[in-house]
Amino acid sequence: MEHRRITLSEQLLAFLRELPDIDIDSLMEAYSRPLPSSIRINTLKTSVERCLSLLREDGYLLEKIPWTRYGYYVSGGDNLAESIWHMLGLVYFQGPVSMLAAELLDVEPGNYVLDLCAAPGSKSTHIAQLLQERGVIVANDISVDRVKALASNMQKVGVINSIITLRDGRIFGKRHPSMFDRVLVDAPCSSLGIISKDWSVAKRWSEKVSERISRLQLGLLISGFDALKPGGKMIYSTCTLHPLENEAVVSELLEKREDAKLENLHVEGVKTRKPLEEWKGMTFHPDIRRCIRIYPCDSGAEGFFFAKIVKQDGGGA
Amino acid sequence: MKIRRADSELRQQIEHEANRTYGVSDFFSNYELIISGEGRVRATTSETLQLASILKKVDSIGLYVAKYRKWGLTLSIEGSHYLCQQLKSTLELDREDAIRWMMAAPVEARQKTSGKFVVARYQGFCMGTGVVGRDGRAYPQVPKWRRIPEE
Ligand SMILES: C[S@@+](CC[C@H](N)C(=O)[O-])C[C@H]1O[C@@H](n2cnc3c(N)ncnc32)[C@H](O)[C@@H]1O
Repeated sequence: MEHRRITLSEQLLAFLRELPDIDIDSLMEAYSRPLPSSIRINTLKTSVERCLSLLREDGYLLEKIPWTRYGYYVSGGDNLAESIWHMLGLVYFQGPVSMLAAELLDVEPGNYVLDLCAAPGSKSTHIAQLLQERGVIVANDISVDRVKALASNMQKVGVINSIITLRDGRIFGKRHPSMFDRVLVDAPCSSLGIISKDWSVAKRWSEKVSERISRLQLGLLISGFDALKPGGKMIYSTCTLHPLENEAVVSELLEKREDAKLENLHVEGVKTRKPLEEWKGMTFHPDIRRCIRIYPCDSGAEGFFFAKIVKQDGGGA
Repeated sequence: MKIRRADSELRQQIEHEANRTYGVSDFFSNYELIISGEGRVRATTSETLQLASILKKVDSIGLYVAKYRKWGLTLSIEGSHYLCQQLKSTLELDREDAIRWMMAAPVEARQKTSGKFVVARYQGFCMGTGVVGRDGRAYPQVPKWRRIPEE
């Protein structure tokens, strides 16, 4: 695979060095590699076997991503993004670790699912596939331009049971409390887990960025939680490594909503790391250890943080 | 967004047109039909429509399946995908023509087509309506954002 040399600001390097349990050289090595090309097979339009056979006939090499049900690394062949199969919506390009968000949400056909920050739709299209046309996926985003891309992707994948809404996710829960069986909050973040996809992320980052964005993330997480039915489940995910955007946000939710509980997360096939229990004088909620971190150097792809939250039955918001 | 549900009269007209043009006997009968701008017909489940009616700032609902205008009914790629098994005749394409189709370039309608609309199919996948011109070629109605870019 192609190698480029990446340089990070002193501030960013200092932050990364403070993370426990990480080897900076391996992380830098991972940041320097382009993300692998990976797809999810869209079972709303075809079966996995049929799709694999069509792609192989066209010369593509496919290797299963171990921690997903429908994900494959793809190489060889002509540019798959410009192929008939992509244009027809049989495959969807998505990062291998990003696929975990919908996988971990325990979506069942018939569920009402809210994806609060949905554009451009990687996870909403995945959720729709897991719903198998039963139940409803509400895909929301605040950005007009990104909602256009979301609508195009939902169309291409062939989602019939979808509602796309365009609003600030922070007020969703107040307006529609206890409505959804599943909620995904794939929050906007500083993107430090996907620097290899976009090096400008590293240039733009400062501690202040993470501080500012963590307030928005908390607003979204609380709103998503309030929109959840008692007994419902929620995934909070970011593609960043900063504890202010991850552990601190989830910990704050647990303080603010006593019916919010964390469930253990377990993923086969990729190394996961323990979350941070404290950061710069802050001590997080003891249950925070139930969340997981995935680093680019372990996945060979993106870095992510995942938390799984359940709303206890009988509690009040 | 104001949701405009197709009333039974409009539904009947669309179903009639789908049957006359494509031989489709069941045009999304288990789904709700919604009409949006430029005669676009979207299909969705009644459950979805019900939920949409209580949500604010709805941008779109369900799947765009067809366009219904005075001069006829065209099926989107997804509309034809859903109805593929019911279509009375399709234009079977080889790989080269299928790629041309997805570039929105006209394709020779080798098989006899009965009307001015034809749905193309490649490897069993239906790829939306093409309008058959006087020159005997089918002009695919593939939206710009779905097209395979030209070299
Ligand atoms: C990480 S991206 C989501 C990616 C998406 N889940 C996917 O998998 O394709 C974060 C999204 O949050 C949206 N966003 C930012 N602020 C928001 C807000 N207040 N309410 C809703 N969405 C917001 C952004 O427009 C952006 O599309």
